[in-house]
Amino acid sequence: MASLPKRIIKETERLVSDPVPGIKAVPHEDNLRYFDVLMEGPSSSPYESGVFKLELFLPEDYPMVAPKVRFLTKIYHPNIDRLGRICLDVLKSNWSPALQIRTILLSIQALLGAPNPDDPLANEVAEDWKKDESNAIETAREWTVRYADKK
Amino acid sequence: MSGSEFSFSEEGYSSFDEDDGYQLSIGDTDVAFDPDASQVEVKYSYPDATTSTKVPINRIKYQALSYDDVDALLTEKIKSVNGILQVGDDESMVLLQKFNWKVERLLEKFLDNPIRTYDSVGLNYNAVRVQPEKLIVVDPHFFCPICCSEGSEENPLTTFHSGGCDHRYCVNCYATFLKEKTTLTCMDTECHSVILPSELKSLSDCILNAESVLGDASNGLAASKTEASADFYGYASDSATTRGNDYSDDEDAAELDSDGEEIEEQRYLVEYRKRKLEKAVQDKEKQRNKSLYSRYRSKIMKDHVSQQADFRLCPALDCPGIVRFIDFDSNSASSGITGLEQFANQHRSFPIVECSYNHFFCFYCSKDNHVPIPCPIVKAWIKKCKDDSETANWIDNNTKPCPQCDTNIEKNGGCNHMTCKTCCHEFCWICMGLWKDHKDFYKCNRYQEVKDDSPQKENSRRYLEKYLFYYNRFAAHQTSFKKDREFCSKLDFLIQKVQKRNKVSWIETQFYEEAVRILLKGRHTLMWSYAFLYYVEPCRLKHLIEDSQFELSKAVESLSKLIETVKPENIIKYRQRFIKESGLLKSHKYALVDICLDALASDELLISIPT
Repeated sequence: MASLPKRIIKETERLVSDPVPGIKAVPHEDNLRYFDVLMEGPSSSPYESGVFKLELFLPEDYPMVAPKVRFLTKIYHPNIDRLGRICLDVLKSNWSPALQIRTILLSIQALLGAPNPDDPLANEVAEDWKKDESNAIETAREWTVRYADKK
Repeated sequence: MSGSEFSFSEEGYSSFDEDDGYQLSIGDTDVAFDPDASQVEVKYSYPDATTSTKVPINRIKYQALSYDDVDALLTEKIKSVNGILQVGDDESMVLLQKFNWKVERLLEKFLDNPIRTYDSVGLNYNAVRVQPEKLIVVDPHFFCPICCSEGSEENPLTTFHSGGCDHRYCVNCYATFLKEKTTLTCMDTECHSVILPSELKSLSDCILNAESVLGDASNGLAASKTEASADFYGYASDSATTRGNDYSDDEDAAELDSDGEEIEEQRYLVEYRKRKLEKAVQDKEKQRNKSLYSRYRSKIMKDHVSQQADFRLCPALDCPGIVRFIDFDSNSASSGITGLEQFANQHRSFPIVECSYNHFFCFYCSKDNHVPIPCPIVKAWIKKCKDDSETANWIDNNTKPCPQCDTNIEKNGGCNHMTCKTCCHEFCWICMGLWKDHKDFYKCNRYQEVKDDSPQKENSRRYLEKYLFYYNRFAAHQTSFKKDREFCSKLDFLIQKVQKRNKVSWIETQFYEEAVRILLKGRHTLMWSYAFLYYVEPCRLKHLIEDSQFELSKAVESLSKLIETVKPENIIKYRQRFIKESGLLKSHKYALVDICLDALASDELLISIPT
């Protein structure tokens, strides 16, 4: 494999020396472009009691293209589908090379705190959310307890 | 053979969105596009206004343009819009791009609210932009947040930013970021400031300069430089092109005159063909890819062309040809045709155009040159072939067993008169019948309708049989067409050899090339005529078409056989025969096209296209 770009080295160093509160991202030893991510659910959200596992991969063209991020822990959220894929503008069309791993992870954490059922990825979840929000939030809470690690 | 091949696989036609541009109506009044503005010749989609029996044909008037022609048109359009808006050529271009090159819409929006229109493309109406040449800053203390490189006193970083903001990044990062884009904006997440074409040019020039300095420094190591720049633009440098100049055609041909170096010859032939075909297109392409700016410009132009209903990119693989619709001819006008779809649905319409690189295609459906059959039948046939491709898959084998000795035979040329190498059995590849029966009793172009007296359950089988009958012939000619064209691609090389051996001039060998081209066109017409006849109900006219088709197939097979059997070094001896046979083929081809057009114009012809 080609040597790691300076940008990725810098970002990784900073993730270790100055971690984002509530988020832990550690690169694999054998592949420094592949990160294991642990993300705490944001407070005052149905996910607040849990810690979620994600995987993050920096493609060859990073930072010209967005990192690939996916939830590994099952989660009940209108913008995250059954495979853990995330519908978030900054991961797709609104990606800019000026964004970083940390800013992307923070955006994902913010998405947990502010679900957007009007732009859904998981249609059924989004419908439940729109029909009966309090019930949907309850389900999200239950799923968090059942599938996510305890804080 | 998979059905999708019918969308003109042999040319490697790109998969086009069929609906592309058809929502727009042809003939939109477009202030900036005056047909007379360009000096390119206006052609008709068919040379004559009527068939030989004086049946009028609907034609279109068109121009075959090159990238450069369209580029000039684009510049003109931008200038004329700027003449109204008075905001600058660059700004006009960015605005036009935003409004999909619709002048009317842009003017309407702009006059309604210039500030908001400006804002929508990332321009600031009231701010003064930094001059393009001042956007490149050499800074020893700069840290680029994208690639994390740092400048130093010895090695300062060169930075760039948009004329509308001051978010600086190093030129390499900016160039990589912009290289695939057509909408150019600042890299910052919150800033939507646009980068104007002249500003991009400034960045592009800066990169080019840096590359040439690099090239000079490495003491003229041209190869590494081309590779570096090719790499930069994400283009693998093809050995065939980079080494292209190393070969001098004469030298190599001379070398080949010493016989016995057959392997060398083969290798050269492959190389030569590849080069010959690709060079013209690649040279242009290379020119366009040379700099960030020219890449951008050619992308903009492609976008522009695909968004205009009266332009078509040539669907042939990598062909840079562009065809521009000018008008319908007087026949069409008098039959009340105003739109392209209406035109294409008429049976007597002829929308086949030729791009500047001699590819023929249908202006309406961007498909193959499907003379003599109308677009709706082509559409139905291609769909039918796609649907039934599973059933027809077995047809797509290039080998058939000899009907006499069962030796597997692979067809490696276009001629359908086969002679088995094992048992010397002569047969027709299409119907597998004895060839000697074909001389005066050639029936294999004619489908024998079965008398309708068998039980209902037999019907579907019979439909399939009928389809397979026509499909078989369509596919056989398609395969032969491909083989013939392969042959055509090495023609230049062969002719060169003939010239050397026989000491004749280029002009004296032209009859041969002409014959091969006529054969190709004839076979192509023949191929489509089978698709056409599948939809035609049995009637007097169908028999007439079949008769004419029979004559054409005879002529095609005869010329094909001649081309295949006469060795290139002997062609001069057979000159008269080549000329005679190709002339015959040509007239038979026109006869078939004529008779089809005549039939299409008549009420007698019954066409059943299932809806």
